[in-house]
Amino acid sequence: MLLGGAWMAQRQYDRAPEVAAGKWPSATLEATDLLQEFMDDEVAAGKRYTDEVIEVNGTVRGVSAPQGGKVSVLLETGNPLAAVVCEFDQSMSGLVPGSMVTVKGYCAGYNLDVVLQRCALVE
Amino acid sequence: MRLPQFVHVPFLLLLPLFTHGQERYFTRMGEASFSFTTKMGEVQAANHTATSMFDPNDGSIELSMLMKAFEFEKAAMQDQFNNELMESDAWPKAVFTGRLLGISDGVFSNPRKLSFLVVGNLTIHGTTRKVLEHTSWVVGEDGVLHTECRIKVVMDDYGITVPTLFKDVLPKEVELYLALDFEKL
Repeated sequence: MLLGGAWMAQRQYDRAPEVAAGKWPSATLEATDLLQEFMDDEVAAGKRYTDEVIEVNGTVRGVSAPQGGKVSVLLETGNPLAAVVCEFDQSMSGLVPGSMVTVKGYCAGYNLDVVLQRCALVE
Repeated sequence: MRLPQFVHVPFLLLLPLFTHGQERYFTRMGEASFSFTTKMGEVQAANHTATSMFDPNDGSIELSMLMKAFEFEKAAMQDQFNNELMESDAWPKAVFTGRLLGISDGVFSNPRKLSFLVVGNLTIHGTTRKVLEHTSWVVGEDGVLHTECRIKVVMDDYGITVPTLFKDVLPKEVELYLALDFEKL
């Protein structure tokens, strides 16, 4: 029984960070509105969204896949200097600039861009 | 020096897009990472969304990254990093503001390899410390500027308290590796 408990504890410690796929979002909104909320009140928006799974609708501005890094899909926000950056662990080669997408991911906060991690496309 | 609870860094929004001299450079996909070895194995963390602005006219460089954008292999490590070490809810960003030393006009205009010292202020966990480090640069044929830098971060210097439980496990300092691919704004 002791061994079983240790195994369970080790298994719990070894689990990978959760991904957004299969998670119910705590909020659904447009990429433009998400950025605006952070620009209006970074503290309040941070409390509302950081660490939460949120679902964002938007237009793809671009896809970036640096060697060895994550695949990042940038969503338009109406602000040329800021985007909603959605990080994926897998290829997003099917996405092209101008296409409409719905993405859900864990919000890491606002750093000029709003950053979503461990994202999944919503069909 | 402790900064206010939230370090808002609107540096890019405040800067004009068009300036005299060479154009400014920007990246939103900067890589920041660190690793260390414990009795339980290698711990690695990486952040791929550091934003940075570089002005080749005066060598000034600014960089900002979200602490919660550092990803670990294990969720428990990520939770401990954010909740028990960095207190990321209170201090959500790390920020560097500095300047390259000894640059000359047009030095980034042609493809070449370069190295400079960078001096500046690094703010982590709400505490600011002066840093002086070597940086290497590659000016690419395509105009992209690639730079790398390693910064030694001593936990005590930034007021980061290691819980007693982890005192014998975690190192007292880590090396923060930065790799940035700048493109013209």
